[in-house]
Amino acid sequence: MNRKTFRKFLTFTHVLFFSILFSTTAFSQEHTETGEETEEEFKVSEMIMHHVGDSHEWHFATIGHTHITLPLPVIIYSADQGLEVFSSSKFHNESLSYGDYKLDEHDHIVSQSGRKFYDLSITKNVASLFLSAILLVVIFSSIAGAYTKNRGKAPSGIQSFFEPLIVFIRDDVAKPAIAGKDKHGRPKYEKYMPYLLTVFFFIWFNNLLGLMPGGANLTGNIAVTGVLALITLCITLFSSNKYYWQHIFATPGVPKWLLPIMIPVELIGVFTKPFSLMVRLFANITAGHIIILSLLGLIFVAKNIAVSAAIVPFALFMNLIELMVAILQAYIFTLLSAMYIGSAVEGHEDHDDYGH
Amino acid sequence: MDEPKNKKKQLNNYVKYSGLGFQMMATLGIAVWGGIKLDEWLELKFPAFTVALPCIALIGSLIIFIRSLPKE
Repeated sequence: MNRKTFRKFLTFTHVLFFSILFSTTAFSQEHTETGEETEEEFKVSEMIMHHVGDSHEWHFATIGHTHITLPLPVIIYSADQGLEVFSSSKFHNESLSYGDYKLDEHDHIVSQSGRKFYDLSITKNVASLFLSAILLVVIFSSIAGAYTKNRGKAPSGIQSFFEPLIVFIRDDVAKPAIAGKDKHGRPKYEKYMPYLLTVFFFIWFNNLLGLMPGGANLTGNIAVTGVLALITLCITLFSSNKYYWQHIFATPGVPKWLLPIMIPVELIGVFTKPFSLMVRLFANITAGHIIILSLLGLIFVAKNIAVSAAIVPFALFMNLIELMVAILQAYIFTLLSAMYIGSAVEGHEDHDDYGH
Repeated sequence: MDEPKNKKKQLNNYVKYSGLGFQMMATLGIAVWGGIKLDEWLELKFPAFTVALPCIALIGSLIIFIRSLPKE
């Protein structure tokens, strides 16, 4: 990375850093105003769970008594009614119901007559997923275009911001974790680069989007992290070779009489590895959101605006830590995925030397 | 091996071992759950499998952990 690229990288990080810093301040002030105007009892846990959970509408802010929300489409499929599509704003009434459907206290749609149906709605998380997918496709197709345009030349524009990250994932994550060459003489890691890069940028972008005011907590949703971990599990299993299974059923260096203990534990280990990926990402992101929201909630619990003098800076500090956690968790997920894949494709000749 | 390479290795190792905690937790959780279910199913007076399975899982995951450590 040359000097100019590095300076550009720094500028970009600073812009990112301060834009998020200011948006957080705006967010906390907004809440302070609401707290003063409304006298009704404020339930912190309810507020937190509402913010980390999924919803049928996208709530951006509340100013006074007006809620700024974007109603999202509700898509329901049932055997008797077929496909039903309507706006979630139809639920905006006293009983929170529309026809046979009703929103329960967890913002889930339930049938009042107990019919069976499938809820395929575009919820806040799904909408956020679409948004981040569009963002990723737009950014990375422009970067890919820049690589064909600037072939052999220095990177330009947004390409120079992402190139160090892409090179980092290739050289420091994929190459050391997935060793060896395939039968055509190509390095084995090359085949897995598209997945590793996608998962890294997907998690990172969604972590950052989740930190934006009014953002959805997509990577803090266990279903999302579960699917990501499932993809890693599938890639590991489908690309596994005989040495991987030999390690599980006849671990070299383990006495025969220990195998009845080792085989079940190793077999469970095949599934606990992606399970730990799922739980780690979900727990880290959700915990971060809960910490910030609890801090802000303290202002309303104390019912004293003076408390915010201590809490707002601390919440800001936590937000900056969350910025670091956002990229760290993306990196950890990618690295561990690469290691699990690496252990599955490892050949006999390129046996892992335990990091030496 | 030069200095920055070594540091990166350390970071990678740190990440690797941070995963083992969750893995052990999940393994033990599955063992306890399996033990309780097995004891219920066999209608044992003494919860033998609830005791035995987590012990086996603990020994096994400790062996896996020790084997994954650098040989030095």
